[in-house]
Amino acid sequence: MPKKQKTFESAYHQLEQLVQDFESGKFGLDESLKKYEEGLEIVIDLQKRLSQIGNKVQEIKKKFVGDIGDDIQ
Amino acid sequence: MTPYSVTEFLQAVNESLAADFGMVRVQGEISDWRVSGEKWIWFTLKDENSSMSCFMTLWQLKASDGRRISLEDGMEVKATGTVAVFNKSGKFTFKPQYIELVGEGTLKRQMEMVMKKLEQEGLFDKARKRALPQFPDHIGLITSKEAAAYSDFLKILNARWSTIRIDFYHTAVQGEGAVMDIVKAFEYFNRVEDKPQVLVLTRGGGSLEDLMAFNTEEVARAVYGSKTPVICAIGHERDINVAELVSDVRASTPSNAAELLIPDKRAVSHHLLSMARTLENSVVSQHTHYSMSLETYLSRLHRFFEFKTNEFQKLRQNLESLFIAFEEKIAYTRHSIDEKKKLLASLAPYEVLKRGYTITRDMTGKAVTSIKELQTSQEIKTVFIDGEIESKIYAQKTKNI
Repeated sequence: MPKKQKTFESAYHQLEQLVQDFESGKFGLDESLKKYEEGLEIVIDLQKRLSQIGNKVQEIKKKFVGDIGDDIQ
Repeated sequence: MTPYSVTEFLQAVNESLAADFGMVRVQGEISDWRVSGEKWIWFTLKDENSSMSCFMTLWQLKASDGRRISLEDGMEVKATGTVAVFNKSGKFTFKPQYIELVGEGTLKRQMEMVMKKLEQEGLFDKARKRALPQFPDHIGLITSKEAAAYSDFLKILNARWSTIRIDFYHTAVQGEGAVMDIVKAFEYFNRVEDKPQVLVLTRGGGSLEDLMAFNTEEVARAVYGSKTPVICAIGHERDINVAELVSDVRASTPSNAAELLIPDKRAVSHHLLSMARTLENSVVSQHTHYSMSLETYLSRLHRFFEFKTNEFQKLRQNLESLFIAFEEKIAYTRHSIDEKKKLLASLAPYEVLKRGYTITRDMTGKAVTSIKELQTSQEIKTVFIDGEIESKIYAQKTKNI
């Protein structure tokens, strides 16, 4: 099952590719309007994600790790 | 006095030594370092005045916390072990169980030895260094939660980006146990299923002794063996250490590590906007180009048709002129023909006159076509082919038809 949301990285790279394609004159007039819309949607989505706040720090519980580590030793 | 045998004597001496000294700690300089058969180590421990022979096995060559160390001539060390006299040679030999490095110089040498060894094995090779993802959303952090490095790193990270999942594995970053902690941390991250995309190994500045854990073979191999790319920021900018040389990316400080790890969201936001603008300009300029081309074609078509229309008009005018001229000509010709016909008609009687017929005219000149128009004694003219006579009528006779 596909991820419900593309990662930031893949969406960003897709956008960069679009810009490159435009600059190389790849699209005809009809297609370019469609692709432009696509590009705008990506920009809006990414800007939204950028405006989110907060990184999540989770500490690894040692004792869980310790047990397994001893087994491996 | 009953004499001992040599064996008995040496045994007694060794017992005495064990009883009186047991485990001792001796500090001195290493010289005549010699490894034989990759198992046995011989060296001399000395100070300015004295020296003693030392013997140990290669696997014994470790520090008190169990990590392996490398030694060479000239290093100052504290060796802890027992002392005995060897039976075969009677040689007084010190047998270290573990060694501590003494002094910055020694530590530095230790570090250089490890560096050289690992470099030769190819652990520093640029080719194997992996690229970090551009926008990681899941990272692993290995450091001490008491370290300034921990809060520095997180502070910069939080300022630059959001929505990152950070798996934090606390370790000691100096002293006993640091090496084992760090090695276990890397083992954990290699093992866990939901792996981060990058691992960050970091600690702040300190003396060479403080940083020694990061110059050990064990930590270096743990970094090298990490399945996940590692970014390493140990100590201050000018400090080089082994772990950093092995890692995929080296940062100068914990803050720098955060900078190398993730872009600043403000800069990215700017760039997104400029990309949107580029796209827009592209579309607009393409549209304008087509628009202008279209206009050009239209006006060319228009001119073409205008030109053709003018041509047509001219043609039409010419035809009209021709037609009029033609009509005139016909009229003229018809008129001319009429004239000629009249002329011909007027000339026709002379053919008749040639044959001997005459034309009779009255004195007014009018041609007479019937005798009824005439009376006796009237004067008439008679036209012959070659002239005319005048006469007077003296009798008429009607013709029986």
